[in-house]
Amino acid sequence: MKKDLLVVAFVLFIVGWLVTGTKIQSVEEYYLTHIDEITEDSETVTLEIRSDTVLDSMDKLKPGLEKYVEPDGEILKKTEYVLRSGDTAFDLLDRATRHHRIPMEYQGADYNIYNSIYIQGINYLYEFNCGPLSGWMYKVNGEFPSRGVSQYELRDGDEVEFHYTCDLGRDLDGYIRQSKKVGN
Amino acid sequence: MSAFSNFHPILLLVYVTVVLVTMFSSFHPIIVALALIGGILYFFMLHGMRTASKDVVYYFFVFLLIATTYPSYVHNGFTPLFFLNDHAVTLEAVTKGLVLAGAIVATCFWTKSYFEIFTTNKVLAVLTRVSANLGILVSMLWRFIPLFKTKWHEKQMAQRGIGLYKVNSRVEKFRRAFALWRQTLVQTAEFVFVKPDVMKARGYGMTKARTQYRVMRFTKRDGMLTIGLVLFLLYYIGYFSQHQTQYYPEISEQTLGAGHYVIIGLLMFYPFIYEAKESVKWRYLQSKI
Repeated sequence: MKKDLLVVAFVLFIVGWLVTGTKIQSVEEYYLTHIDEITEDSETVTLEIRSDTVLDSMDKLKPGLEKYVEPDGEILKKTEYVLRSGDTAFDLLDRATRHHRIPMEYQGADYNIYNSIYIQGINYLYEFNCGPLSGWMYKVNGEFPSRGVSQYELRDGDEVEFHYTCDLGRDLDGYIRQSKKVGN
Repeated sequence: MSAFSNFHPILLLVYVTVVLVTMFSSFHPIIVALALIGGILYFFMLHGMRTASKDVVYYFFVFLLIATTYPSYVHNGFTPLFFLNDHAVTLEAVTKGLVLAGAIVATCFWTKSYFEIFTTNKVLAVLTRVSANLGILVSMLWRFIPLFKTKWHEKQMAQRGIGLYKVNSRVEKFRRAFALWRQTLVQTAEFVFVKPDVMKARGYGMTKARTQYRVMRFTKRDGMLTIGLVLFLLYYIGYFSQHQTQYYPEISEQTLGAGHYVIIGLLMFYPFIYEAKESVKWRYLQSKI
């Protein structure tokens, strides 16, 4: 009988743990975000989300997604946001996409070996949707940082851009391959 | 004994392939539902109300598990219903989860029914033409699960008789049952895999020339049905490779006419209808004197 009670207690513990670890929000609650007013002495950063590369490789795009591609490649035009202290590039993206109701899906930092959040898809455009080498990359002040999106802390005046690539970044301006070419 | 199982084994194999391939290549909610209902109805026909409803209840929980797990992992989709730990649970993902769960459960039921009607002599009849060794091996593997069930039942009865389960704790009961289950598994595996060696030691399969008497004949009816099924499969594979139901970001519009659903429904329900027809015929043929 003692064993039975122990098992019941264990099951209750698991259920309690699951319930307390789950957060359920309605759609309105989730999208309700506060965007700070820009005042004269506030620190600001800009954010832009683009998917131009898809327009050049429409043949590689997964069928059925054509009508979700922005015709001018602009998902979010260059917008200025107030920088809160300790904001990473991901915090900025999360806040802006919630504010503009752009759907965004990411993989949490605990689920990969890089300890950083990984952006899987923005605006119904997901990784691998435009060929096997496609996905989202980000740029700060014209350079591609070699750090994860939730590890990059922003500073005043930074210009953040998110770009969709169909060819591991080689089709984007200013991308330099990190690894040396071996052989020819 | 099932009337449907009297068809030639090759036809039976082609039939189940057509059912499953049509279902998975379309991934269409209605077609998956038809395959699921057809599979369950035939399963009821084979096993009777009482036994079959137990399995249906069990598979209902499997269905629920898959259907609830899927949308908590996939968040793509046009209409968010609510947000779970900052990730969207969308209508599209929920629908796809239901369809996926339906497809898996339908596969389970068709497979279960086929294990019942596709007996080892049918396995031998099909595979001996290809390779005799393969035939004997597959038929032995085929026997594994039914054999395991019988042995498990025997041991359970014997152990219950000598008081293995006479303890108060449920956990302890479960632990003992699990130990017995493991032993049965090992014993059955040994039985199945040692048997071929024994047969070989007796000289079976040592001579090159071996004749086989074939009881099952591939009749004209079987041939016509097989050709019909293959044509059906080719047509619908061609159609669904272009029009497979897409779920993300929006569920694609269905262009299939109602007539197609009737044809596909007839195909999925065929074993059930045939079985029902034969049992009615049997009732009426019985003399009432």
